[in-house]
Amino acid sequence: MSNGNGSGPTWRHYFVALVLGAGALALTMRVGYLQVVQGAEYREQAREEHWSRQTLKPLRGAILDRNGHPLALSVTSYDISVSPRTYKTPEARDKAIKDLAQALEVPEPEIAGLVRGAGDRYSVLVRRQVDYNAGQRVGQAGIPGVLLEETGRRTYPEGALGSAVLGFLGRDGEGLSGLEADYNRDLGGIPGWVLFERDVIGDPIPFGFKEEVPAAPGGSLVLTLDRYIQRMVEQRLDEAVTRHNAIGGTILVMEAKTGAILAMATRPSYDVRALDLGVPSNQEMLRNRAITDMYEPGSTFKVLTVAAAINEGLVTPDTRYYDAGPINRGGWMINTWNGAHYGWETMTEMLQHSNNIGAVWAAEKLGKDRFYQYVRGFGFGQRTNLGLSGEALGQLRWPDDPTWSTIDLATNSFGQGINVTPVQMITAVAAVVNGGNLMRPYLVKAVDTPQGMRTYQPVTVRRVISEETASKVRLMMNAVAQGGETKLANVPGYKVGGKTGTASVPKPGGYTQDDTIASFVGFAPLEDPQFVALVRIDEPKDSPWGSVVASPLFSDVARDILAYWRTPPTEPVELAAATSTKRP
Amino acid sequence: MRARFWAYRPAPVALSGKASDLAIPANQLERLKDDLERQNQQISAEVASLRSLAYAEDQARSRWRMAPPEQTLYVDLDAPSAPAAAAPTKAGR
Repeated sequence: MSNGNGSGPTWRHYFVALVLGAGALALTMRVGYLQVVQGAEYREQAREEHWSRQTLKPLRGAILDRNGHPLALSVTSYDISVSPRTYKTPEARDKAIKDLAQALEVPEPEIAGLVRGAGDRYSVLVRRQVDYNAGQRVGQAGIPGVLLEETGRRTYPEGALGSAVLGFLGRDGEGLSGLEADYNRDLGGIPGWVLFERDVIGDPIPFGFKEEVPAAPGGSLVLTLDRYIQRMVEQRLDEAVTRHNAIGGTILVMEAKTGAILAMATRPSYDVRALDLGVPSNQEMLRNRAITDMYEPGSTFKVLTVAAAINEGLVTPDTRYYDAGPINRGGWMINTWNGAHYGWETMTEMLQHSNNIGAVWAAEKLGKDRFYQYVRGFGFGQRTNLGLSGEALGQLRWPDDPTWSTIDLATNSFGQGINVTPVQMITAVAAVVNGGNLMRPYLVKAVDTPQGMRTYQPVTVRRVISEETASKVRLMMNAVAQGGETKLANVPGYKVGGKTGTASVPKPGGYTQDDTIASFVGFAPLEDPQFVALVRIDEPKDSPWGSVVASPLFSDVARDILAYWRTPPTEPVELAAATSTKRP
Repeated sequence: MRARFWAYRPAPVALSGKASDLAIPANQLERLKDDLERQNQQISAEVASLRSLAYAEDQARSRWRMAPPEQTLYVDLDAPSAPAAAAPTKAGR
C-alpha cells in the first residue's frame, strides 16, 4: 500500500524483514542450542579428538636366584596387527602381506590366512610377542596398514627350572601362579601415562602439549634358591621317578640354621615356557606339590617322637624298652614293618630298626597331651607361612576331636594317620638338626624395587627342643645312617644323619595294599649341619621301601651339594666306595 | 613403555626456526635412548641364556665331549666330529 508519494516501506519490505528476522532468530536459537544444550557433549568430543592419553606399561621385574642369576626376566616385544581397511585393492593388501612375512621371517601363508580372513575388520592380530629385532625390521620396512604395539615378553634363561615355584603369567602380563602371582605387585611395577595433543590419525602433534609420568619398572625378586642345586635336584628327581617307575616325587633342600630354601622340586610339573592352559590335564600340574599336597610321613616322624620324649627327660638314646611282638591298641593290631621283633632294644636301635612298637612306647610315655603339644610345637596342623599361596594346613585328629582314640596316638607316633606337607616335614626336622629352633621357611631373600629394597631375615618361630636334645637326636640319626636300614644314604667322606619313611597310601576306608610313599629326610655334615634335605618318591613300582628308593637319592643329592660347596670331607674315603656307581 | 604407532608414517612437514632445530634432535635422542634400552634388555637376556646351566651343559657335552663323573662316555674315534651347537639367539625359548 503506498502513501501516495511512492516512498516509505511497503508490505514487501515488511515481509522481507520478517523473513530475515525469522531466519536470524532460528539461527540464534540453533547456535544457542548447540552451544548451551549440546555444548558439553561437543566439548567432550572435541577434547577426545584433540587429546590422547595412553598408559605406559612398566617392564616387569626379574626373578633371580640367590647369586643373582636370572631365572625369569622380561624383554621388550611387539604385538603386530594389520588393518585390512587400509588397502584399497587386493594387490596392495597382498604386497603388504608379503613384505610383512619377509620382515618377520615367517611363511607368507601364515600371515595371509589371518589378514584375508579378517574381512573388513579394523585390525587383526597376526603375531604376538615378536622379539625386538623382528619388531625393528617391521618398523623400518614402513609397510602400510601395519600396527606395532609394544609389550613385554617373559623369558627364562634357565629353561623350565623351578617352573612350579616361579609360576606363570597370563596374556595380560599379570602373574597367575607361584611367585609371579604372590609378588605381582612388586614385579609388575607402577604404570605411567602420557597426555598429548593428537592429530586426526592419533599421532602426537609436533611441539604440541605433552605431559608424561614415566612408568616405574618392576622390582626384582632375589630368591633363596640356588640355581645349581635346583637344577641338580630336578635332574636327580627325574632320574629317580623314571628309574622306579613312580607317579611323582618331591625333593626339598633347606639351610638348616636359617630356613632358607635352597631347592624345591616336584614332579609331575610343567614347563613354564610352553604351558597350554587349554588342556585340562595340564591344570593338574599347576600346583606346587611341596606346599599343597599332603602325605603321611611314615617312619620319618619317629625322629620327632623320640626328640619329644628325650626333651621331656623321659628317655635317653640308650633307654631300653622291650619289643615283645605285635600290640593291640583300641582293637587294632600294630606290628613292625617287617614282622621282626627285637626284644630288648634301645631308643637308638628302635630308630635303626624303624620299630613301630618302640615309637608307640615312646609316645605313650609322653602321653597324649605332651605328644600333641610337641606335634603342634613342630609346626604340624598349621601353615609354615613361607610366602607362597595355596599352602595346606596338614591334617590330623587332635585329642579334643570327638573321633580321636588311642589308636591315633599309636599310629601318629610312627607317622601314619597324620597328613603333612613336605615343607612342614622338612621344617620340623630342621628344628632338630639346627639345635632345636623351629625356623620359618622362606623363598624370597630380598625385593629390590626403584622405591627401595626390602630384605628378609631368618625368623625363629619358637624353640621346640633344647640344644642338648637336638644334639642327641642328631647322633641317633647318624647311627641310623651308619648301621640301620639306610646305609645307602651314606656319603663317602662325610658323616650324615637321617631317617627313612615308608608310608602306606590312604584310600577311603583304609590303605592301599601295595602302594607306598618312600621318603628320606636327612642332613649333612653331622659335625656342623649345613643343610637338611627331604626326598620323597610317590608310589615306586620296583620297590616300596624308603631305604631302597629314597636313601640312595638322598645320598646322591647330598654328595652333589657337598661337592658344589667344596665342603672338606671329615672321614677317610675308600677308593672303591668313592668311585662305585653300582646300585642295589 | 607401551606405545602404539603406525609402522607406515607420512613424511614429516618441513620445519624451520630455533625451536624446531632443538626439538627434532631432542626427539631423536629420546628415541635413540629408548632403542638402546631395548637393545640392552635383549642383550641382557642373551647373556643370561649363555650363562645358563643348560647352555653350559650342552656345550660341555657337544663341543668338549664331557660327561658327569658317574656316566661312562664312549667316543667313536673314526666318526667325524659333530659341529658345535649354535649359541641361543632367542633367550628363554
